[in-house]
Amino acid sequence: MSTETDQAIAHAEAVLERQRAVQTRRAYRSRRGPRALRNAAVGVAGVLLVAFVWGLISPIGITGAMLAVLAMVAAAFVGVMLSAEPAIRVDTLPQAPIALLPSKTARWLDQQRPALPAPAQTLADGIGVKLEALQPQLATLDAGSPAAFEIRRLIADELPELVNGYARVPTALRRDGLDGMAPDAQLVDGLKTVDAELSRMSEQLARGDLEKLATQGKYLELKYRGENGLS
Amino acid sequence: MATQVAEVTDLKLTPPEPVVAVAPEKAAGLVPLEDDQKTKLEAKAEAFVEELAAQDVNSPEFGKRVDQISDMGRREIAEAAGQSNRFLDRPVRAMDKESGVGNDLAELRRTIEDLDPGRQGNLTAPKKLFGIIPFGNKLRNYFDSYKSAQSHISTILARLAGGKDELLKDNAAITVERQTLWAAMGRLEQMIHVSKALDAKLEAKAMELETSDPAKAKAIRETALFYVRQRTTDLLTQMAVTVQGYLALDLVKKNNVELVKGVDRASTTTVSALRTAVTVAQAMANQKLVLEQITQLNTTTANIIDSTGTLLKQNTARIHEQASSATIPLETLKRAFQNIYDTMDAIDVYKLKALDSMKTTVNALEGEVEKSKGYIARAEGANTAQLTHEPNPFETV
Repeated sequence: MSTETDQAIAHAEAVLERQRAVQTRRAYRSRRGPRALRNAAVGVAGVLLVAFVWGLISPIGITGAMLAVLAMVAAAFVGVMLSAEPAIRVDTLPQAPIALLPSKTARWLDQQRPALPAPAQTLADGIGVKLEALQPQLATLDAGSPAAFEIRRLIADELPELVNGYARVPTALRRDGLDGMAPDAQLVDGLKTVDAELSRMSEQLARGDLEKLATQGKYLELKYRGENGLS
Repeated sequence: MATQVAEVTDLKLTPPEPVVAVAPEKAAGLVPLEDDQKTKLEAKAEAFVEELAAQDVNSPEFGKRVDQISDMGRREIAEAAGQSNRFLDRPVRAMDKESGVGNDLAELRRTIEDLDPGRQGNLTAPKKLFGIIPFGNKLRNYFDSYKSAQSHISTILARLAGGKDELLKDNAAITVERQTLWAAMGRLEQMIHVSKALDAKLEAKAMELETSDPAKAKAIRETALFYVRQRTTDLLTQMAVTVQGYLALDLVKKNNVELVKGVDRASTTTVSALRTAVTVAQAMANQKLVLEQITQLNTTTANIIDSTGTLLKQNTARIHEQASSATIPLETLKRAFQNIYDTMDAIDVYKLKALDSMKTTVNALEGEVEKSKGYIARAEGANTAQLTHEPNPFETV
């Protein structure tokens, strides 16, 4: 009885987990969409404006209109093409300023995504989202502080090392590996650790601000309402 | 109102007791765990022991699980130890701050002493040039000296108010720190619980396997059980230090509360004396003494105006009643000054005793932190020796 229930619960959890993963991926992937759309719209609007002004000066005729439509299609195409990011080289990561590092690593990880096995892709998406969330926290962080050093080590050094190490393993050996070392499983475990560590670092960074706020609140209470909140 | 009562009773500042060293074996159990938590943690320990016993003694899997034991509670220990620097820092900084407030109080005392009517000789005696010709008015000159001193006094009082705010801020920070420390202690307590459960269960398992698989029983005793006991000691040591720090923070907090009381009282008595002087000047020398800065100060510190306001109303009525007899208003003024002296003496006595408590606490704490550092170093060493990407099975619940 209980095993059936357990199985059902496990199954339901797996489905939920997949659903969550799909959502994370969508949230992450969808970020490229708006930029492409914006670029295309700017291109089309530009062509339209030129054609309109030209039409005011001298009629452009059917040929002109056709040409304008063609130009619009071309502009939209170029706009979408321009939205594609240049490949980020991993050796440039350690030199990136700490405030820009998370987004750079996130973009780099996104580019590595196709080479990763399915469960690792989901994890990589999750890490990408966490990295983007870390960005504002790092904006005010002193680059020389131990916390900055720790984060830089993790996302500019250790994480790329893990993914690149996996990429160096021949495709045929990735699933089963050799002598009980399974690269796929190891990559997933490693990414899980990175994911957990990112959460912890984010919490650690937030802790100082949380404490400051709590202290100020308590101070106001002590000063204006007395020790027990009584005036 | 409260201050008015305090005016009648003596200012009582109780120095906090020093925090004594907490023995590691007594450190556990100070933070209560819920039954639900205990059950979950014990289930974890149970599952771990079963899994460990199912492995072949020489397999890497067995070794991996033993490594997990030596890694147990590492984060909890590191986190609690990270805060130990801060609670060492607190009492020391508190002593610094105390000296800041102390300097201001000493300066206030010196300034006040210059105005003390008790040190001016006979103020009511007519002033005479060359001791023969009546010349000027001693009392009038005396009250004039208030005018020149008032800006200085108000500066000191403002500094004291600032110092008081610092003490309150300090206490707010301590409250928050104690809250996070309590949470850290809760997590340590959970790890200690797991560790002790593992100890008992491993011991039982080894007994059980004694006849059927003596080699495994031996391996469990010599590796797993050995590491578990080592970990228990580490966790208990860290717990003892953390508990002690937690108590030390309370000591600093109490000390600050007493100092705030002292500063409040010193400011109140000073303002009260100055306002009595205003009334006495009016009554005795028919002199309108304008102490604008002090009045301004009253409006900014609501607390002070409130308490002195009520006092002053009574004093004013009484002094005007007694103005016909020359010495009584002066007596009132002298008493007002005596109030200030009493307050400051009480603070001085208190500070000496509190400083003693604080020093004892800091010394005891430093010793314990030093001792625990050895354990932490061992825990860190165990961590760098093996870098697993495995999630640790012993997580807090």
